Amino acid sequence: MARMKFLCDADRCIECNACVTACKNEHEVPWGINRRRVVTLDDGLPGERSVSMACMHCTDAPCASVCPVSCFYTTDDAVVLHNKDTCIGCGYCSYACPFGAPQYPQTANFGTRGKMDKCTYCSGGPEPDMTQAEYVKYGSNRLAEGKLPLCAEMCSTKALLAGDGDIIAEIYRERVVTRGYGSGAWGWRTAYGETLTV
Amino acid sequence: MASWPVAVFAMMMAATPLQAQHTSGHAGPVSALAVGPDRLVSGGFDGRAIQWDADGATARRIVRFHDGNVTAVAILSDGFVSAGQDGRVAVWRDGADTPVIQTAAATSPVSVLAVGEAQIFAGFFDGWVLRLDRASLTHTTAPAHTGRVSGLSVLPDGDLVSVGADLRLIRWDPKGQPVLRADLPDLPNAMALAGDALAVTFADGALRMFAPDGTELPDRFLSDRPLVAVAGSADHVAAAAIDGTVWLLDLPSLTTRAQITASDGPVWALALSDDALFSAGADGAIRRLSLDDGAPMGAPATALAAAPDDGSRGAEVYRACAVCHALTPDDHDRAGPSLHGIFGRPVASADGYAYSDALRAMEIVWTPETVGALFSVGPDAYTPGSRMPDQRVTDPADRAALLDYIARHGG
Repeated sequence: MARMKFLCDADRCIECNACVTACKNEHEVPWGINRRRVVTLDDGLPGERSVSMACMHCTDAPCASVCPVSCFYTTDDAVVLHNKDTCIGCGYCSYACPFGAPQYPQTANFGTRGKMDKCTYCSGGPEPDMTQAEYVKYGSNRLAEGKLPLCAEMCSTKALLAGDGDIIAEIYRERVVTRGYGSGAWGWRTAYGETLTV
Repeated sequence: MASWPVAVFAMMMAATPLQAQHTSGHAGPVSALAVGPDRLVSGGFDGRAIQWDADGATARRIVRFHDGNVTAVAILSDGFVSAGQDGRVAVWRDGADTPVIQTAAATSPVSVLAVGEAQIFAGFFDGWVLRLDRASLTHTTAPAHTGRVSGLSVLPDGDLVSVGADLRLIRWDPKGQPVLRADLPDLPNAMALAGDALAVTFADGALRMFAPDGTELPDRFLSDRPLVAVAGSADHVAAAAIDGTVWLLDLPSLTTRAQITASDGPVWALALSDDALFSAGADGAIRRLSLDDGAPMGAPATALAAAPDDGSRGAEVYRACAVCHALTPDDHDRAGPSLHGIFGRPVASADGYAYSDALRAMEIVWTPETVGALFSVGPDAYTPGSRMPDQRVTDPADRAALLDYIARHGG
């Protein structure tokens, strides 16, 4: 079974936000919630970098380890999903997630927070695949249709890659080899020193 | 991991408790702690704020005011401040039964509180900050961040510093005008004054120090798990991760004085007094730890009693209920009432639990059929207006297993 992953190549992202728009449209994500967003570092300055961010479907997901009602689960494709019928909107997962993925509706009944919402890797939720019940709660289930997440499909520069982790790692490796040493990941100098020549 | 030997030493020292100080007063995860010269205050998922003696040994006051989790607390010289998931901020004075002021419920929960000489500040999940004038008890709100306000600290000169999920640190003058902005390298989760600096814990496992002018000072990468709590004093800073590890560091060197395995689950709150470090989190216990070596000061804290696990599917489904409901008789301290003897009981009739008005106005008798119906359509539809979060068990087999489990273990 493939282990599905996202990878954003910061050397290619041009902050067009097509991934954000595609996600909103595909899943009819409510106002105030962005399952995916583009983060730009040093915006407007030389060397600015943009990265498309969403749930990264962690192998050892911190959100799952702090959930008091155990609403998270990992699919056979290594996608981290949650059950909105179980979620109580407590917000603890928002502290645990390093990527800011958990989102909450701005309005909810009785002053409580409502259900958490996040990227599903276009693979729905616990409801039967491709049903109306699944769509209303989680959006479309492209994986069940044999398709990859739409955000990556829409990426015009192929900065955002989605798919079998082994395959996208190989694609990225080829890019790095072509570009040369130091292009492997944004933050190379942060990790190995500002004086490093890349 | 040079600090491991210190942790081992700390655990060895735990064999000789200094003083019996076990303080397990919350019936659910503890989300917030604050300590002052004469009191400790905690806030929990059970909807209660508890004021303790400064050593945390004796509860002096318990208030159940907020609807849902009490997400933040702060100390006043003559009381305390509580704030919750309901978006309300309440100021409690010693000797008064009701808050001297309470703000209206909001759709966004309060994430953090801070107290200054003249104002009380509350940061919200939606990025807004509330300023409450302590003299006039009037308040204003204004947007501060484009995401959760993760930390608020009041500097000695009265300026407020906020950090938020928009990866910004902003310093505000007493009139609420921003005077400085700095970018943060990662997602901040909490902030505290520590010595002359601001200590911020981040989701990437780093504890980063900032000067009041926003300049980044030396940092420590403590963990590969997100850090979610921080506390500071003149001489120490403490940080905690979601795996229950707590670090006690000396200032200004940030050398590890102790690395403590405080609990199995997340530690959501820390507080530093002159003579102890308090930690609390998902297991509901408040632990008092020595500033010398992190050793527990007192008997091991008792965590929340877990629901019986008989290996059945019903036990598995019930896990989502256990954080709010006990199965033992008369245990109504959790966010919801005990489910002991629920079948045959009229709605909102268990003595010792403060039900919502909406639930008390209903005429339902809980039977396997009505509880099944509750989880079939969800509380929003079946018991509208009640405090229960909208949870559903859509699979009829799972509902039957849950009902069977409650019948077997709930008396």
